[in-house]
Amino acid sequence: MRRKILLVVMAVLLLLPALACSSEPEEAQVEPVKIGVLLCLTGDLGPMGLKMMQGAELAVTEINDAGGVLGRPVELVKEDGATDPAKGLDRAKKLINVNGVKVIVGPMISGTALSAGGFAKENDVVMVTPSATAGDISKQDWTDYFFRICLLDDLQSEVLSQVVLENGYTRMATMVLNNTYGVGLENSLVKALKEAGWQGEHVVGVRYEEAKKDYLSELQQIKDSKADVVFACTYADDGIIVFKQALDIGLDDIAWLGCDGNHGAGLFKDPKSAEFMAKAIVAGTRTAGGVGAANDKFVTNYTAKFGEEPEVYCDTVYDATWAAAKAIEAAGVYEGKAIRDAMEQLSFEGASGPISFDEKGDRASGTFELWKVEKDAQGKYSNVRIGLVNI
Amino acid sequence: MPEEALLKIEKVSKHFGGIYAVNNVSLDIHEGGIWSMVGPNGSGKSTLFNTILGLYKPDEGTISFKGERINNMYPYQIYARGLVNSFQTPRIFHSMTILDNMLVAARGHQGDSMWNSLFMRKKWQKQEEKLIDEALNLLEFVELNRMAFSPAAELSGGQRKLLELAKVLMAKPTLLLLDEPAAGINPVLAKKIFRKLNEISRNGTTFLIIEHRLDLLFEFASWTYVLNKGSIIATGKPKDIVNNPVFYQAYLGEE
Amino acid sequence: MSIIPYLLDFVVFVGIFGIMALSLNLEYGFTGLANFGKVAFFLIGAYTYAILSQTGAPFYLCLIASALTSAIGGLLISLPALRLREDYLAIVTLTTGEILRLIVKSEDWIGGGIWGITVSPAIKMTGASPTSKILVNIGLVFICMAICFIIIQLLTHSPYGRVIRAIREDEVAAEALGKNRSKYKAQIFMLGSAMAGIAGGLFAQYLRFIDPYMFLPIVTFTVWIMVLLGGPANNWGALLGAALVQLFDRGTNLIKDYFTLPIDPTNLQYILFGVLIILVLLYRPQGLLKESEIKTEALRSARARGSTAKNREG
Repeated sequence: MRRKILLVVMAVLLLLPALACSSEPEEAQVEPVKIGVLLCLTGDLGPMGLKMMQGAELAVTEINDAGGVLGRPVELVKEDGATDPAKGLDRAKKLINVNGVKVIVGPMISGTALSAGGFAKENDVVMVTPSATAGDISKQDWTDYFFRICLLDDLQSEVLSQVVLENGYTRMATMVLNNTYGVGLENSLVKALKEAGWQGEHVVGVRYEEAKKDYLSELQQIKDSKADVVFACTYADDGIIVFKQALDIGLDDIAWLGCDGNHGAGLFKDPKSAEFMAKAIVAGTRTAGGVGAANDKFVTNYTAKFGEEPEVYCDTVYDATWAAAKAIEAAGVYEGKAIRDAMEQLSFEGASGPISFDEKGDRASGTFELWKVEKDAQGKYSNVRIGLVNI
Repeated sequence: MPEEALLKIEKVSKHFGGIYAVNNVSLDIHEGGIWSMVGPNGSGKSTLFNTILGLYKPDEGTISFKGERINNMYPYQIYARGLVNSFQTPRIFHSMTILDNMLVAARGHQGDSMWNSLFMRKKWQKQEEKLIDEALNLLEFVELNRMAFSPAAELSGGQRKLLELAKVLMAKPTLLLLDEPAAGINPVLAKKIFRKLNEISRNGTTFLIIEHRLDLLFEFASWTYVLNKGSIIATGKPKDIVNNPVFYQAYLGEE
Repeated sequence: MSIIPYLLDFVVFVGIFGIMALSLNLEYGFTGLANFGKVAFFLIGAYTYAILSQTGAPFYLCLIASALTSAIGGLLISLPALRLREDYLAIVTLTTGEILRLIVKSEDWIGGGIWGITVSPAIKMTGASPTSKILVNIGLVFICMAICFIIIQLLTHSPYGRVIRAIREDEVAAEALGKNRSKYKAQIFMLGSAMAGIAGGLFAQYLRFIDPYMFLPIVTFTVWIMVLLGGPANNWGALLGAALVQLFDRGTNLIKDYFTLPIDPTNLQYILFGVLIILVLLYRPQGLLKESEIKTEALRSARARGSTAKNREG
């Protein structure tokens, strides 16, 4: 009896996909325009990806309220990249072969970009990534179908290097995530400093694993190195712990530099982390929206809709979705080559600043803001802009 | 002139955390015949067996087989030199057939090596056919041949003991250590088995048997060692041992 | 029309993971070795292939190298670990896999570290349609799988197969019958690792890009489910398990589009998978296909003789 139940359950689960493949429900009068979304909803970057997905959803709501695309509503087809380029490639194949999407917002991680980019081009599908920042991507032969909303590491690290040079630091330590984001920024910062003729020394480069929840040994390495400035490239969840423990270990006496990963109210959830950031962070960089307007509107709407403030890359994924919609509209047809051509010519004001692409599909220009953390009279912490840099 | 002992145990001791299971035991087994070891439960017989077989290392003393020291050898090396044992609680391979169990025990099967099993199949197929015949003969003797292709898991307790015995005979040992081969077997079959062992012993195999069935030892064994509390307390021909008061004291003492 | 490439892609993965399942089945199903570090050899094979392919070596040499380096890796790990009890072996192999992955991730000079390596495909077909490229890969993968299958079938239906099953059941008894259990375990571990290495190489050249994020322990666990579901100690079972698990993963991902679910579909997939595993372990722990009996020609003819004798008697 039990064996039969098991076999029946399995048979049902196995037959369903066969049924799914054979029948495509096309009853609807107005067929929606599909935009694929490939973000990491599980795995190490899962929490970040879930928040980013909300940015895409916000964009779609606004797009449809404004009348949709090509006179039809836009529908997101969401897939989970699982922080694994193999899975990401499989989901990209599903989006392209099974769902027939012609444009994908994503992938989220550079690994998936490198594994899926060629496949997208082979199938005339456009990818618009909010966050894949690896330099190697620009060297590939499929960049004509690959566009990046996120600004590349070299641009951001140019701004960071300026801070180091202007303040005359000579002993720099780095504490970065051991992934393409952290190591990427670290490498380009060191390179930018070298090219600017910096006379100082990169005394220690600490790379830590995302999932680790305790960084005392790493922070001790920094302390032992007697650096005068530390560049911290973290996300929110690990950033809180890094800063909290840095305060405990007494590293608030030296200067710290932040980046977009540790910008945002998420890091103020722990009072120690907030206190440390207010005291120690001399400056952090992040891509800025246009002064006021588009970015503030985005933050307000996001917070209103989802009850929490957006975090890193939520603005870029919002812009990526808008870019996809605008490109389809400009192309006039739901067809890969046309969408690609339209995307190349695209130019608009996004939540993360003015959007346009260079010949490699990378973001042509950007504005960076420098920020600090300050505590107001009521004891509430917030990020405060202290400068703007245009690259 | 006394010939070199087949199995020589010299001043062997084995203790577990201060308790001496085997205490300064020395004995010789010479080639030929059925030798036996008796003694109450807990006297150290099984521990001594396990030490001989390489499952335990002796804390003191040496064990030699055919003049070679075997204290520090692995069980498979001891088997290779011709010393094979059966276990008191049968250790058979349940997931395989009875015939497979027999074939695993066979000595020097060419197909045992990876290379041969992949590339020299003809070579060992012939040998396997011969071994199957031998195995079936032995199984017939213990009346298990009809179940040769059944899974060993289906055997009853008594049948497992029979398979255990047939299995070790298959290994063509020079010296075979049997741990209570007649336990759990009906008396008629037990006698039949001992008669067969006797026959085999005349063809060159030596036996060292732990047994409680003194009547069988009476009839078939040529020599007995008596153990109690880890030491040998008496030794001699079985009919002489039976008349030795030391022997009775040991057994009564355990109650 | 466009579904076909996705279905063919599924077939390639069944082949690659079929080899993985066969290798784990050899180690655990037949020999009782609880190898929870399967992904480590998958990784070694993949990175070996990737690094060699960049030097321009032909694919068959790269695959052979993948098998060799993984086999050596298997031997190195087996030396200390194989004497350990089953659960300890599981822990040691699991941590070895993770250590290896973290080393590759942190040391850029080995395989590009976090940036990964791009790999050229085994058989270059510039200008060919995507579908024909997949078909060629199916051919390549299935030839390798067939070779592995034949080797394991021959090995397990032979006296050698008897020995490893005996070791699995009761290694003390097996050793008492003259089998050097360390030698057998090491051989099996090396062979299983070599096959996993080949699977890794095929994986690398098919995906054309590898990085450390693709070799997390979840890969090992997925292969375990394939073996347990299909039936340990049954080679057809291993292949069946590989196919079913792949089907489940992709199938549930496809059908989620057709249901509006209260729970987020991605997590629901993992939950359902877990439920399936629990059901299998509770109600059918021996897997879908039973353990295969040892069949050699000699046994077969003996059985035939036995039955004719019985018929004559009866």
